[in-house]
Amino acid sequence: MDIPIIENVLKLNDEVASINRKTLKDAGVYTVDLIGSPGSGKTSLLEATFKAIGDKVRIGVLVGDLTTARDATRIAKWCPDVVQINTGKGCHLDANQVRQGLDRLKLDELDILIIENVGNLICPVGFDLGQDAKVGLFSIAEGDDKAAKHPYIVQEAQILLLNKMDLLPHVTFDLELFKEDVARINPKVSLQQVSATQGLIAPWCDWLLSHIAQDCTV
Amino acid sequence: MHEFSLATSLVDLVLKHCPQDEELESITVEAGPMRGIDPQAMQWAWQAATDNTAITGSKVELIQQPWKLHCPDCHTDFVANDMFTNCSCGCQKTNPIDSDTLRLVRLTLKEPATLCT
Ligand SMILES: Nc1nc2c(ncn2[C@@H]2O[C@H](COP(=O)(O)OP(=O)(O)OP(=O)(O)O)[C@@H](O)[C@H]2O)c(=O)[nH]1
Ligand SMILES: [Mg+2]
Ligand SMILES: [Zn+2]
Ligand SMILES: [Zn+2]
Repeated sequence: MDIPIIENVLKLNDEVASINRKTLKDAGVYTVDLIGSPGSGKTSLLEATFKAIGDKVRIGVLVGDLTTARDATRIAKWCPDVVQINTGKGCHLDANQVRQGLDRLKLDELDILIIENVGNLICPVGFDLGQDAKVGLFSIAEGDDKAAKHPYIVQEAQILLLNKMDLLPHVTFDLELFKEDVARINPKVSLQQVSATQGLIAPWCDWLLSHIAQDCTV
Repeated sequence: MHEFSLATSLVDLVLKHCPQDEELESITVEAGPMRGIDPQAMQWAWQAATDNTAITGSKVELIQQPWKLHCPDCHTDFVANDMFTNCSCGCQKTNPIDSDTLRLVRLTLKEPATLCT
C-alpha cells in the first residue's frame, strides 16, 4: 500500500531556520553564511575582515568545525564574540546548531554575524540557517572548474568571492572560463576577486557594509 | 556523509508519517540534480540511519530528476541531462532553474501476509 506524501525533506530544519531568521532580524543583525571548500580561505577572510573594518562595525562569528577549535582560536584574537560549534561527524551546520550558537552571543551588541560553515561546497548549501545571504568562497588554488562542478552554491549565493588571486601567476587557472561558468549558472550573482592574506578584500567589505547601511535606514 | 545527513533528516519525517502498526517496505524520494545525490550512497546511508528504529530494513527509491534549464533568449524552459546544454534556438547561455528539489513523495507499506489455515 502506498501513502502519498509531498514533504520537503529538510522541513524540520527550515522551521528552525525561520525562527533564527526572526531572532536575528529582531536584533538588527545582518547575517551571512560563508560557504567554501576546505582551505579556500574562510578563516583568513574573517581575519582580514576584522583587520579592515573591525573598528567600524561590530561583527560576531559562529564557526562550524568538525573537531578542532583552531579556527575559533584564530578569530578570538580579533573578536570577543566568537562561538565554536563542533559538528562532530556532520559535514555542514544545521539550523538547530546555529540556534544554540545564537543563545551564546549578545546579538543586541552586533551589526553583523558571519557564520563560517564547515569546509564543504555541497551539503551546507541545502541547509537554511536563517541567514540573510549566502556567500560562496572559491580559490585560485582549487582549479578553474570548481564553479561548474559545484553549481548549487553558485546558484544560491548572493555574492561569490574568488580568493588567493595572488597565486594566479603561479597556477594554471583560466579566469575567463571560471567567470563564464559562473555567469551561466547564475547570471545575477556578483563575482569579486580577493586575496585574504594580502588584505585585498575591499569589494567584500564594501558589500558587507552596504547591507548594514540599508538596515540602519529602516 | 552528505547522503547521511539527508538520511537522518528523512528518518524523522518518515517516522512522523508511518503508521505504527505497519511495516515499511520503502520510501520514495525525488531529488533534483543540484543536490548531487548518489543512489548507492543514499541506500547505505538509509540503512545506517534507520538502524535500531521501527523502520529498519526499508529501502529508498530515489527518483533523480533531470536538469531544468531556462533560455534567456527565447524564454523557454526545457529539461536536459547536462547542465550546460544549449537551447534549440542556438542560445548558449541557458541557466539552471528549479533543480534543487528534495522531497519525500511516498511511503510504501508491506502487504500483510495472508494467513491460510
Ligand atoms: N596565497 C594565499 N594563501 C591564502 C589566502 N587566503 C588563505 N590562504 C591560505 O590558505 C590556507 C587555508 O586558509 P584558511 O583560512 O585556514 O581556510 P579555511 O577555508 O578557513 O579552511 P577550513 O576551515 O579548514 O575549511 C592557509 O594556509 C592560508 O594562509 C590568499 O589570499 N592567498
Ligand atoms: Mg576555517
Ligand atoms: Zn555532506
Ligand atoms: Zn532559446
